[in-house]
Amino acid sequence: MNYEPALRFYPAASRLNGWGTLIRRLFHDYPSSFAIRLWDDETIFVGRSMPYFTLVFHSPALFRDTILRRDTSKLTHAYFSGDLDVEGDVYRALELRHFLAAQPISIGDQAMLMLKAIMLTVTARHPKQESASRKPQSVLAA
Amino acid sequence: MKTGTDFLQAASRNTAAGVATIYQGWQGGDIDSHEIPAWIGSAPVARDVEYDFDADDHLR
Repeated sequence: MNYEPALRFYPAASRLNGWGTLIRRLFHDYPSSFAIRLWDDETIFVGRSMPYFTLVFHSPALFRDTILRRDTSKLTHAYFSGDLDVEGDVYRALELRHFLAAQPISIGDQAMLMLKAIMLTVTARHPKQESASRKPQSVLAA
Repeated sequence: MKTGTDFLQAASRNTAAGVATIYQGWQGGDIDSHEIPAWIGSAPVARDVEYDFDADDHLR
């Protein structure tokens, strides 16, 4: 059973950060659907159906480290420290460990991840510049 | 069929069952009271959990 997530979509923010395309490419073989909600409320949907769960990242640094290292031990630590939340089917969320461990990443995507991680670090240090251009343009109903 | 409440309980940071579910699921392997890392016990939300459990008893 899919749960009903809070669907909030910020097109301008998606273009600004550009994580959506890269994340969906990294998870294009993922056999189910889930969402990632970032610290600034940008939500990235993976899969073709309603998400079974949403990973809520409260910290840019955690998101960067998770994507770069694909190490779920980081997620465990973050979950217990409150930097990460799981909404929806927690059991499916836990299955990410097996996918992340087995999923190869191309050299091109690795380079793109590194570049975006650096940019993320820079924008996290200067959040005012980014938030000034961040306006919600639409809200999609479930 | 599991409900949203079931998932909340399974992922609870404040119960031994929730700690076991998350820890085993993302870390892999078995845990017992002697293997739980100190950082779980020091986390604000898990500080009061008593870790005197056999994790297998709490997993579905």
